[in-house]
Parts: sequence; C-alpha cells; structure tokens
Amino acid sequence: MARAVFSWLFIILAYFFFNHSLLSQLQDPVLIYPGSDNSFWLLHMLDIPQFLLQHHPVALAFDIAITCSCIICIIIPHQRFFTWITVAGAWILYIAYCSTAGKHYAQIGYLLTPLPFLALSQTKFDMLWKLLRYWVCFLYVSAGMYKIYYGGFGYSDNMSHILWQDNTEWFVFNKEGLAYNTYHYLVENPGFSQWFYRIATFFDLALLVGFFTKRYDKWLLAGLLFFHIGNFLLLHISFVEQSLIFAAFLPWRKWAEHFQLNKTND
Amino acid sequence: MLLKRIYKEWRLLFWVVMVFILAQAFFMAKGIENVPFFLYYMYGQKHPPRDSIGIYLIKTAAGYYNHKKLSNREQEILTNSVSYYVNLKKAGDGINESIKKRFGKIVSGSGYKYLEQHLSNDSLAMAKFPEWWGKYFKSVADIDYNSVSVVKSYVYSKPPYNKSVTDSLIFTINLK
Repeated sequence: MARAVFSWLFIILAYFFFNHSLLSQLQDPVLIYPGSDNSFWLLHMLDIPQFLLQHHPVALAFDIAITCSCIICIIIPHQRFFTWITVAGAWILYIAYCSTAGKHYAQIGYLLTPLPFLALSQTKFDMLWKLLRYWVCFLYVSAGMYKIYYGGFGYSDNMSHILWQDNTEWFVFNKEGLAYNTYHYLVENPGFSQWFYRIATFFDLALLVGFFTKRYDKWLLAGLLFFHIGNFLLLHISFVEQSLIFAAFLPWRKWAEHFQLNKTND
Repeated sequence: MLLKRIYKEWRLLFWVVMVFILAQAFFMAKGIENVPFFLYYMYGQKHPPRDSIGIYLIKTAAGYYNHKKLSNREQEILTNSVSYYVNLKKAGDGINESIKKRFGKIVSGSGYKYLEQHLSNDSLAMAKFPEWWGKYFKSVADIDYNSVSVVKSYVYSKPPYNKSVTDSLIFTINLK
C-alpha cells in the first residue's frame, strides 16, 4: 500500500517537474505571498520559503531530496526517516509554490494522504488512515454545506456566472468548436447549467455517508471522480494534485487479501 | 467508534484530534484558512452578474500568446503572480497592516522590523518582478520571443465574449 501511495506521489512530483513547478524551476521568484495564513507566516518568518526559492542550488537540492526520498519510500516502505522527509518536503513545496503564485490553492491531496505512513505500527497506521478518510469526507461535506450556506446553491444563475467568469481567458482564444458551443450553451442557459452546481453539491454532501459506513466507498469514489472530471471539463481545474485523496476510498484490504490468496494458491 | 478506540489505544493522538477539531471549528467560524485547517468554501458564494471581467494577457509581436494551452500550474504562476503584483502596486502590501494588527502591541524595534522584512515585499522585490516573470515565461513558452508585454484587458459577458479593443500595459520585458 505504501509503495502504491508513494508511487502515486512520485507521479505527482513528475507532473510538477514536467510542468515547471518544482522549486528549482520557478526561476528564483522575488515576491512572496504569506496572505493571512498563520502557517504561511510562521514558515516565512523562519525564512524557509524565501531561502529555498532565492538560492537556486538549495532549491535544486531540495527537489532532488524530495524526489529521492519519495523513491526510497517506494523501494523501502518499512522505514520512517525518508517518509518524514517526503511529507515535510511536500508541505514546504506546497507553501513555497503558493507563495510564488500569489494565491493559496486548495489542491491538497498530496499533502494529506502520505501522513498516516508516518505511524510506526500497523495499529497506529490503521487509526490514522481512518482519520484521513474522515478528514476527506469532512472537507467535501463542508464544501457542500458552504454552497448552501453562502447561497450559491439557491441562486439560479450561479453556475452560468461561474462558467463565464472562470472561462473568460479561454473564450479569448477559442471562438468555435464543440467545447465553445457547450460552454456558450451552458452560460446562456442558467436554469440548465445550475443543475451541474446542484449535482456537485449533492456529490459533496454524499460524502456524509462515509462517516457512517464504508460499504458505499466505491460509489463515493465514483462520485468524487465524476465531481473532479466535471470540474476539469467545465472549469479547467486540474485534479492531479488532489487525486491522492482517492486512495482513502480504495479497497486496499480486499486487494491485499486477494493478492495474498493468489500467492497461497500459487 | 474510532475516537473511543483511539482514546483507549493511543491517548496522545486522541488529544491531538480533539485540539484539531476545536481549531478547525474555530477557524471555520472566523472564516480564516490556517494550513492545515483547510476551508473548502470556494464557489460556495453567489456569483453576481458582471458586464465584463478584467484579465491579464501576454502580448507578443505575433499577437496574444495563448497561455491557456499551458498547464494549470504554469498558468497559475504566470497570471496569478501578475494579478498579485498589480494589487501590490495599486494598494501596497496589505500585510503591513496585518503585522501591525497581530504584532503591533507585542513586538517592537528590531523584532518588528524583522517581521516586516520577512513577511512583506519591498520596493526592490517589486522592481525585480518583471524580470523574474520574463525568466519564468521564457522557461515555459514554446516559442522564442525578443520581448513580450503583459497587458490588462476586459472580456465582455455577451456572446461571443470578445475582449475590449484597448489594453492597458502592465510591463514590457526584453527576453533576449
């Protein structure tokens, strides 16, 4: 399981590399954005993001260290030293990247999912993995509740306005084709497009079931996938970084038993 | 129940979880995100109608560079940083107010200066921004340009969602 999760994390790091967003690829940024977040403040007060971002050799060493320690976690899952380095590195990478971009992002799957692997025993890992699953459920349920509480759910033109506002730059470069016609139709038909928003709220709130039973995890996972694919197709929001949270809903025990059984039969 | 099991088997974690839940509730009530207490409220609020929206575009000798063909992460670094830079230029670094509010009464002298130096952007950083932006753009763009300009434009809400004819210049940067 650790091997699968850290392989997944490695793919995310590779995605960062191919998209020029590892620290050494950010070209020594000059502006910082701690925002109002106390954790960002703490790290910036300690000079950690600035030191990493403004010293290219250090940034390069950081990128190599996080990538190598992630690979070591795949090869030797039963150690904790490199797991700590990978987890701490992922959080620092997130904070430094957001500080450079001038915005704090909500794509945090790669920060949360490796955390339970810091546990030293199987029992403790089990408890942390369950807590992670609850945390993911909580994040999405709260997102659904916010959509209702702040009025987005009840405002019939909301999705139409979101679609236009999120795609303004895209519209400058795309004036025809299937995607253009689809967005155009959805923007011009708010009554119809709002149903996408309501379905998204439903998928968010459906995670409430996850607090009571694991029986429907495959459906919750399907819902999450559908939700993120929808976000990607309609709003161009990538979910590569967030995809690791799907791991919390996968039937790892069943797979382990299956592979164990196959091994015994062999 | 999981919490009961954690209480019995790993008391320290139980109290960590309790503190975490209380902190999460507190920050939710306050509406402030403090990592790792994430708030997933984006897109929750009503999005009112608007006649037009301001966007940042990259202008080259061959026309506007289609930055939408870049990955999300590259776009975030290219366009959000410009938006942040413009806000800093226009309204100053609002973080100085926050430092004053949070630490004004408890830290003074060199300690306060240290906070300002480490949390805010000075004029030198602001002056260097276009050059840094140019370096990053050069590393992600698939075409070599001699120079590019970053401009602000507006996109109208009526189909075919055209942009305004005039742009306002943010900065021009030589890439050679």
